[in-house]
Amino acid sequence: MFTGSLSQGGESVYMVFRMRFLSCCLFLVLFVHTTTAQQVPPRWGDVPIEDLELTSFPADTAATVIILYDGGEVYHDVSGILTLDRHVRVKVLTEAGIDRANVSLVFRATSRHATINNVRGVTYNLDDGKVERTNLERRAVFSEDLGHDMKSVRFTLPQVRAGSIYEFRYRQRFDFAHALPSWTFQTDEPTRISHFRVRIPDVFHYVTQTRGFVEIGSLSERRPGTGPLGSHVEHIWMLENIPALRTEPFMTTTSDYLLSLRFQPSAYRRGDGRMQPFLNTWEAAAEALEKDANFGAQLGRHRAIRSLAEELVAGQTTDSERVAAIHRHVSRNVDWDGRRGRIIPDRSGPEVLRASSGTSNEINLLFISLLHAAGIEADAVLISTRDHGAVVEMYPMLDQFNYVLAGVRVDGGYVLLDATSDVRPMNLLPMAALSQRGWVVDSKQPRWIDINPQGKFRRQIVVTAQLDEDGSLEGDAMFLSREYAAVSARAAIKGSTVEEYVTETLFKGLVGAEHASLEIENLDDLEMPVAARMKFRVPNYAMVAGDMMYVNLRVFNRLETNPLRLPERSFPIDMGYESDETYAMTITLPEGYEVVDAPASIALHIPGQKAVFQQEAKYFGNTIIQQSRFVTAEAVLDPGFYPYLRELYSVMVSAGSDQFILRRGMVDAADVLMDDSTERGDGR
Amino acid sequence: MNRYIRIISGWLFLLSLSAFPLRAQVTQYPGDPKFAAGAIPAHLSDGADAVVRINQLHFEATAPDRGRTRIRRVVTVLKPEGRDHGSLSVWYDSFRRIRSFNAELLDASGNRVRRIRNNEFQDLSLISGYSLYEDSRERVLDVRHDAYPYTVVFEYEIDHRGLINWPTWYPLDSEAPVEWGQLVIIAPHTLPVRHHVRGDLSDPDIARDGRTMTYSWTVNGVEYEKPEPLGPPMWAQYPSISVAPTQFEIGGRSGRMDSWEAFGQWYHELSRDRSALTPEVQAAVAEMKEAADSDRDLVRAIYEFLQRSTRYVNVSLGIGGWQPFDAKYVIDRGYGDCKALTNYLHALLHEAGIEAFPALIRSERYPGRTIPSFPSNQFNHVILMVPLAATADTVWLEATSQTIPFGHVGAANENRWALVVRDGGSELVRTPASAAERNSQFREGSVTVHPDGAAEAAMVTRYQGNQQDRMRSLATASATDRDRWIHSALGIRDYRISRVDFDALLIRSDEVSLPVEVALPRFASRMGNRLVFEPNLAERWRTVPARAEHRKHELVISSYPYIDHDRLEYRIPDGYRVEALAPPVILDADFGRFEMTVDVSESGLLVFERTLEIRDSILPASSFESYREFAEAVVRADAARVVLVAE
Repeated sequence: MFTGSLSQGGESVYMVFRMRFLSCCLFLVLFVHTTTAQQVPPRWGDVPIEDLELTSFPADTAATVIILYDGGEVYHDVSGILTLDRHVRVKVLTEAGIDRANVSLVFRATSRHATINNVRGVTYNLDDGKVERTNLERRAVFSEDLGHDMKSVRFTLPQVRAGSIYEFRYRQRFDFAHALPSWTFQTDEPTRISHFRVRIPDVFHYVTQTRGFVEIGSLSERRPGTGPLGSHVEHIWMLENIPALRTEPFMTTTSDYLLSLRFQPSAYRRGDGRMQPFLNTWEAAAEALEKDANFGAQLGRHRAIRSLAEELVAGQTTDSERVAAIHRHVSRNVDWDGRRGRIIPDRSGPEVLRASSGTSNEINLLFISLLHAAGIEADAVLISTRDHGAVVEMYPMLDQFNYVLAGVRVDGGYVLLDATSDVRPMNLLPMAALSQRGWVVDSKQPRWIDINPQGKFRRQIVVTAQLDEDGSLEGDAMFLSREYAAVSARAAIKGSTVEEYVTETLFKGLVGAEHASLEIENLDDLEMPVAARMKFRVPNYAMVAGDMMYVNLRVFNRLETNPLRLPERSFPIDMGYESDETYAMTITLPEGYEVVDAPASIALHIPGQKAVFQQEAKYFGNTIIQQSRFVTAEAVLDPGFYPYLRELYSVMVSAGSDQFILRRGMVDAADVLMDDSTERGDGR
Repeated sequence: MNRYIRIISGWLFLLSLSAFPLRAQVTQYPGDPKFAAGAIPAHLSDGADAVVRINQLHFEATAPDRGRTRIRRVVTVLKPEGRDHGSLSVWYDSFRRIRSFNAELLDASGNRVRRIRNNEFQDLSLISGYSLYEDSRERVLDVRHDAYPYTVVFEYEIDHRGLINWPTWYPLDSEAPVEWGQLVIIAPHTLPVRHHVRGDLSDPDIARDGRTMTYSWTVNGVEYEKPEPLGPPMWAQYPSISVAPTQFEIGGRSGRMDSWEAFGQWYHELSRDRSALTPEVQAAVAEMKEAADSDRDLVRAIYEFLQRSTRYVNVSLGIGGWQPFDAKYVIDRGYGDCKALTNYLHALLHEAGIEAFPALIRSERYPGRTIPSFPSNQFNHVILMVPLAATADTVWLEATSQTIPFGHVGAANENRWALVVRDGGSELVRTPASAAERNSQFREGSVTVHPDGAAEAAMVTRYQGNQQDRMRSLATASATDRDRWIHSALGIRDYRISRVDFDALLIRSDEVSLPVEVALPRFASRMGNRLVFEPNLAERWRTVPARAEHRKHELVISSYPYIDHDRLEYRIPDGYRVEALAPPVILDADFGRFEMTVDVSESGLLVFERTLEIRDSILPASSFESYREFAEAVVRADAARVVLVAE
């Protein structure tokens, strides 16, 4: 999706190419400080003929391009402005790689000082052994204002075909002198050389964070020097032959895993020569946050907030009732606009209230401030969502966080709540928020707390049915959805109608199914399970052939396909939440039929009992009872579990089509044969 | 294939509309002038999330390139589910500027809660996914309130500096009933107004004064009906009024559109003298001409030369949305949009002495949008028509694809009207329709089933016509996209790919074929001494449309007529015999047929055969129930099982 990613002040500056999710193919040869055939950095325009003649890349056959070189040089220019010079060179291997030559450089610009200019580009093609150069025209470089302080520069390289090499360079200037951009070495295509140089002036101190599967920090070469901001140390990182990293199903994002570097400013030198920390302790960070007018604690003082809080808690006698009343109001009346926004919002609580919509962080801060105003002890708890990367607790850097939850003391306990959805109970956090630890913003006692998921995906299906001689099935079904399953049921019903929910979700895969006396309970009471009860009929459900009948007892919620398709996995498998799904079916056979053969019982688990699947059946007389259960014990599994989990799913898919073999008993065979012929005559 | 020129204006998207200071003869909103929620007629508010109180578009043209649109839109939001109705977006570019945009929020009884301030508007870029750059942007406003019901009043004005599209107005333009709607069109006598009404709407009231003509349409109490599933596009399911001028001017280029000939002439003038080639390209054409045996061969060679040396990139700025870049632009950059690439192809053919004509077209899935009796700008794309005099056949060329075979234009361009642009003789011509047998998919395979239920399958599928288009895109797709395709297209529940040759799709011919080998670890369910499996491995219908009592609109059941044929031979394990088979299914309908058989052959193989032919892809509303029954029978047959038992 990206070929490179830079960020400043927590916002991404990235090159967006057409969305492409590629499967993963890992190979890695990492050399550091070795001599290579290539000159580093390569001279602009000096493209080796061997690279132009290259037609394939055996190490990664899925590659559509090779990033031959991605170089960045970060320094302060003569006027002290933080500057990046970037140079990218790409070899196009296949036609599928051509679209990558449509480049969009998105960057944050809070002032007009933030710019990208001096864009140059050249495409090289081999034409009868001759190298043909085509320049990117300057008037074919476009600027776009994206709103929300974001801008982009867009261009496309000319004459790009399979086999071409193109390169481009540009100069980017940043708003703030201290906020070094991050550097990402890895993309969804293989990279031959990624080379990053940054001159860090002695007046700034940074904490360097690395991401990815090798420790890059240690690969830096250091050279002292002097520049516009006095003496500096130049750090050079160079990686070679970096494999592509492509997304896989059940993977939240690749950005957690891409090899990258981030720089957190930790201190600067004051005029008197002493180092002044930016935020050197978590206490200081908490204090700074609490003083901010648009953040949590302050908000409860607004008159609009106070009067609304009073109105909402009027008549509520306990704290938990008060919390629930405030949550109900916020989640129902303030729509989540789909963005998370900054931790410190641009708008105040009353503004958010008036707009009746906001980012998730604005909504939860509004919720916290209403709780404060109602006299309930509540803190902002900061987390980094699962797609945002892990927090390093030793560094008091607020831009490690991207999400605000409400930490509320109620009835002697301390709970984490979220108010961004009106179909999710407040103690069930959004999936992305189920990270490891959160940081409680409390200047007197800032602290870390564990985030323990308060729910699972729990679903229970109970079916009692009568099988008819013509193969039709008729009976009662109950679908009981709790916790996250209830959230998804409510969301599905809210997004359509009850009728569509039944036909498209509950009856999925059943032909001609009909229902009657449908009741859905607790659609609005978020704390209760959603229960759907109905009478149903599926005509021609079982296969009838002469005296034989074949029936599948898994009528509802059958797993149709194995979601884990790729043979291998290199990244954690993120299933969102833990699951506990049960299915119980009791079926009465038509008069005179008996079970000839039944599916074997299954009891399967993956190592450590992280996921378990069981299915078994009992039959006696004309009744069969089948029960199955799927349980996962962890939401996120290491890639080592992948083959086992894939196999477990494979067994579940297969179990979903298991058949009971029924035969009409010999006792009244003669009658049956006669009936059979007439029936079939009518039925057809 | 969706490479649109911006000939569509946002009118077709921006379904908002109508009038302010009204002339005396035009009727006024008859409802509560304060917009109290309680004043909404009960038959409109019952069950609704929101009600559009006023949907008014007032357009006044003053010159061929000058005009002003005024919109007044008042929406009462009755409950939280209706909140999205309180938002509005207005697009603008160098030809249309937003002169004013105001909004206010009223409470249930119509008292003003507040005026909407400037900082509540968002200003966003509208560069579409297929474009490198466009100059269009939008202003977006989303007004909400926390006490229901509430009312939002929007008013905005657009100044037009350059006009090619006059409004198209939809009385019902959102998922909410409309209390009152009005379209008013005012133009000087020198600019005669033409209009086209789709659906059940009355004739306009017409008034004239010394200087202008005024046309107005008014609707009262329009109830909302959901669009019908499997129906034509939304715009075809709701009534609309399109208005067009006789004379127009945009970017300083004036023209007439009172006949197709006149409108074609405008495009001709706009794109003439843009065909100069470089000596190198001229030499390349001469070489191709030398080598070609026939005109057809020559056209093919030139078309493939274009495909090799260019790609599609859209840059749309000002008049560039209509006027093609010249041939030199494409030669220098190796890219262009549909106008530029078609112009370049035209220039290449001209150089080779082959006559060809650009053809303006509405490229989209549904073929029926263009109204032949209403000459106006109804197009979003351009292709090239090449009449080959010697053989009396006509070749149509799509210049924006690097992979499709010569002479194939794809489902989005076929079977519809195109305006063939010819100096002094532009006319509407229908592009050819493809028959089912031209769009075929033939699959042959063999499957070996083992006693433990595992199986291996080897299949080759051949695709022709429109069915090959989606396959060609796979040839250049990423590994993940291919994997996703196999997963959904083959419909196999659980498999491991042993071999697949996507490179076979790269061949530029009228047919492509894709060999796939898969391992199916749990293909058959094993129950004691029996094996049960579904022999339809790869091609399957899964959904049946819900019953509909009073179907109003035609059914669009596929993008084009097609035929699928599957034949799979199953080698069953030794010692097993067939205990039960699904009976054959034969369905014959007016629009197509279906046939499925499973049989044991003389050599002991189990042979599954399935043929599905859709002869007509668009059916009249009266066919809904017969189509539904057909679909139900196909879904049932596609899930048929086979039972084997050990002897």
